[in-house]
Amino acid sequence: MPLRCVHVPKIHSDARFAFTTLRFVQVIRTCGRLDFLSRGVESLSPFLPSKGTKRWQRLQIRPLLFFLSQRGLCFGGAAASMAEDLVLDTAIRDWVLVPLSVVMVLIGVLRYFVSKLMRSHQAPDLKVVKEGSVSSSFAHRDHVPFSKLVLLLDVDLASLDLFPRQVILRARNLRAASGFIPAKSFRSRKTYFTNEENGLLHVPKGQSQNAQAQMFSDPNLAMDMMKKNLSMIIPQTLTFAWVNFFFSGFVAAKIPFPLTQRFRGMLQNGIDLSTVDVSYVSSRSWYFLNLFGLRGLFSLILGEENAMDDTQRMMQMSGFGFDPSRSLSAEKDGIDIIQHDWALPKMEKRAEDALKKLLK
Amino acid sequence: MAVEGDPRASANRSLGDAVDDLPIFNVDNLQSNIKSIYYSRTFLSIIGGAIAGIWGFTGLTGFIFYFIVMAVASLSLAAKAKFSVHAYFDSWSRILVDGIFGGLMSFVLFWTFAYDIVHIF
Repeated sequence: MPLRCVHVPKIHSDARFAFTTLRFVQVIRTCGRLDFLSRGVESLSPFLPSKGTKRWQRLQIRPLLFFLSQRGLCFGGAAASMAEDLVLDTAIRDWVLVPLSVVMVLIGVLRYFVSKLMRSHQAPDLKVVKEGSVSSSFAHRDHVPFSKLVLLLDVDLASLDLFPRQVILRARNLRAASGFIPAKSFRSRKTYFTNEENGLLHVPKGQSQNAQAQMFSDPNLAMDMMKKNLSMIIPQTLTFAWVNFFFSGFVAAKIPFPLTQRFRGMLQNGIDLSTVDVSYVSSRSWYFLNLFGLRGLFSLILGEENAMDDTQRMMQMSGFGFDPSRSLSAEKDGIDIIQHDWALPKMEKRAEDALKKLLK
Repeated sequence: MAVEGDPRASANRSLGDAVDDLPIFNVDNLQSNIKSIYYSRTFLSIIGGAIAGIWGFTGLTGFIFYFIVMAVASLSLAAKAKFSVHAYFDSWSRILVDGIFGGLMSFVLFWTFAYDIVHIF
């Protein structure tokens, strides 16, 4: 079957094409069936950039079969029969997979340190510290994955202003520990929080609207938000652009599990051959795989803080239309409905049982 | 499979107070326990991914392998907590199912990586 050069797009201009093109050879020095391709290779040589030919001839080559088709050469049905078991060039592994992963790990580490340096440390206001008596570990944790696991919290507190946050935490502690204090002290604390006039949790109607506006106009908070956003979005965008520019147009990896045809458009966007198995993906999908898979690695090597939780951050950003007054009133309702149940009588019973068991 | 060998898994400290009608927990210890579970699961997904790739599992076999590894991890964690889960955690689900799907992406990444390096290239 003769080889026909149908359409060879912009071969001379980009260095990347030269680099990748020069990788091809012949599958088939190893398996003799498709020997015609060797002729095809020589026929292609006038199209290669002149300064590249020597390099091409010097290079040791392994097959990159459908890559030929990607550049517009057709070779008929032989490709389809080999589609089950493509053997890919070692150079792809050396120069695409490993560098991409290494670069993403390094960028993650860099971003961690940069955000650590750039994080403006606001010394907490004295008034705020006086009002809140909660442990400060709550106040400065922003998006640790275990935040969703800690029992008392059902709302993400990270975007809150410091003052309401402390109050809410105190109220929650009160709710959770209500069994440990006698009824009278519980009641007095309850009125302190939910009193109609000057209770901490009570928010008059008119004020609830401008809390959000206040949050936006507060320059420190807005700056912080923007810094966090930027430090996350810019490296991702740049890396994605870099991947697209340099590493497109060839198969980068094979994912070990089969996928349906619907994923083809998503995973194989640089590859134009439609008979290649969907498992063979382009480097863009390797980038996305790394993006999601390296989160675990980051949490291991960078400590628990700033484990690149991009999805959580995106959820935080989208939930920004949140105002503290709503959570305050939610807390108020929570405290209102709680039934006080003093645990002391039960403790006495329990101590009695334990002693009895010991004496038996 | 080095579950106990992971140094972070050794921090299973016990919780505070009365666990009777009022489940109240010493939050710091609970958090550190949860953290150690998370670390060990992440570590195991990465190692499991590399092993699955090297052994050449494809398709469903790989996922089954992942869930087997996670089940072994849960079992070992339960054994480390001397099967009295309530002394160390607040619920069974914490030790059994938590974090399994978080580790899945890391598993797939390292599985793909190892599989490609060993079998395709």
